[in-house]
Amino acid sequence: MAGHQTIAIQVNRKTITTITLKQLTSILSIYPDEPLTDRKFFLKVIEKGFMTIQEIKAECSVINIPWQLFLLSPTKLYSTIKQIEEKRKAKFSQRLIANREGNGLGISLRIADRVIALQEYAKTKVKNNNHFCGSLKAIPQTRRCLYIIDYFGIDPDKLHGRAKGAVLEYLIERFEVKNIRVSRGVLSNKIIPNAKEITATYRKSSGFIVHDDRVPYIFLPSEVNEMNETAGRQILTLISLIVLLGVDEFNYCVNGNLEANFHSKAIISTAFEIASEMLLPLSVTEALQSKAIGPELRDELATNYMLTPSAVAVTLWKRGFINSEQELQELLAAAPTIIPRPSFPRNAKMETSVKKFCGLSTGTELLHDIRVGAINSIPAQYLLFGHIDKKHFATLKLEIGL
Amino acid sequence: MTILDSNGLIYFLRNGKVLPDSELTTTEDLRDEYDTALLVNGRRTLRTKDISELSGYDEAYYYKEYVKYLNSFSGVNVASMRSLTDASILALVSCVTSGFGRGGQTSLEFGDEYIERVIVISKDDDLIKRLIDDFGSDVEIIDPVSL
Repeated sequence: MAGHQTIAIQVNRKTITTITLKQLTSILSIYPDEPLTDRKFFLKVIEKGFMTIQEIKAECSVINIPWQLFLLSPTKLYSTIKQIEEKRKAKFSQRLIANREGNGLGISLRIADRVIALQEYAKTKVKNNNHFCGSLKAIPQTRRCLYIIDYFGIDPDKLHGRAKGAVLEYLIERFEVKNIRVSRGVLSNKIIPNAKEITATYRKSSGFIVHDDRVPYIFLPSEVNEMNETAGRQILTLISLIVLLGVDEFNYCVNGNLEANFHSKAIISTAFEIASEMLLPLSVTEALQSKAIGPELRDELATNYMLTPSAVAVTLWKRGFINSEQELQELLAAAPTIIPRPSFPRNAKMETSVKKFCGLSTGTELLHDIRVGAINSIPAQYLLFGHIDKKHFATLKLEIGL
Repeated sequence: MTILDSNGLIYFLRNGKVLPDSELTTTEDLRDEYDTALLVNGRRTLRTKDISELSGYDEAYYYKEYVKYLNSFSGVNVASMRSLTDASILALVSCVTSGFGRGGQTSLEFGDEYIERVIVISKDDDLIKRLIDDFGSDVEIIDPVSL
């Protein structure tokens, strides 16, 4: 269909403005990795040649984009889209975020935009540079694990023998204390859209860094990629991304099965080694000298030391406890399949979802600003939901006692 | 008819000033801003009248004007959701001063012959300038500091 075809926007059967098909396509291509142009609603609109303002608002509440975009003139629309894209592009071109692969896997652009917006907000409250960024470069490889433990005040005893979810929460809290913000992909409370065809895009999301000298952000896929990213895998992803931040390397997407890819890039191998050293201390494996390495021991270590069974196998191999690649492959092949959790918690508290997505510190600051009126409701909703979502904002206000 | 900008309301609340006694004419955007500001400050709700309750209300005309100001008011930025409420205030004033495009001001309870003053209470310089440019003496601007 020709780009100049116009679509009327109506209120009570009166046309209040029109947009061209080209404008419509531009709006729906803000996130080129998401198939918004294929949504039935828009296909129908193109066919019938009009849509009502109420329909636009309803559809935008599903796809989480501002409905006002549909009312902008071509000039204003294209400059608005350019602004949105430029913020994102600046991060990509300066290599402050991992470059996306040709197939678009790794980073959801929508999530990247949201994290960048949160980072900008967080930066208004943090004046000093983050000293951890790049600091690992001056530390010899053999001392990096200890350095991270010391720098973040991590108690190694809290990294084993506990539920993996609790260890993940503990580590996030430690990293946040030193101003490394951790955003987690949450599907509850419509913080990000949960329409099936949209989630299909970011279900492939990996963990990644959005770098900034003052407020670096780490994104963990969490619920959006829960089929692959269990709590145990997220722990490994998180520590690996912390290592990458420490050596000023931001151009990598990481997911929890990086043990399967560690040999492809030296830096990933380094990140894996440091993460596995932190989670499965050398003293523990040294005590295994006389033991036979088999699936049972592998699984026992995996349960107690926050690594997946396959990550334990690779760690043991790297530490010389497995003699041949064939033995390693046998141990990897026998690793139990991870049983994913049934689904994201649909009844999660809004405040919890906010703090998970925004990061603990940014979420707390944002909720505080909402409480004291330091941020107006429209920009607050933009940071929380990526668009105006009165229903969920009202729920949040109720929950936080407003 | 009184229209209170949300920054005006926040000024009243933060400085412990008495809220305007008159009924405030609102739009959906303004009401949302009021709700949050009032809740934050633990205050009672304001006496408001929605634009849809005005005589001669024409929703299509309101949105037409909203589109106009969304595109022409320099402060509006949809990328960062800035000044969207200002666009709705300008659209509201335009609807009222033009009688929803039918000519003459919309009157409230007093019949068509009564021309009511439109008062906007605001501290926003850009909004005030645009109100003066577009509506001149049809609208009276009041700085909340002076109240």
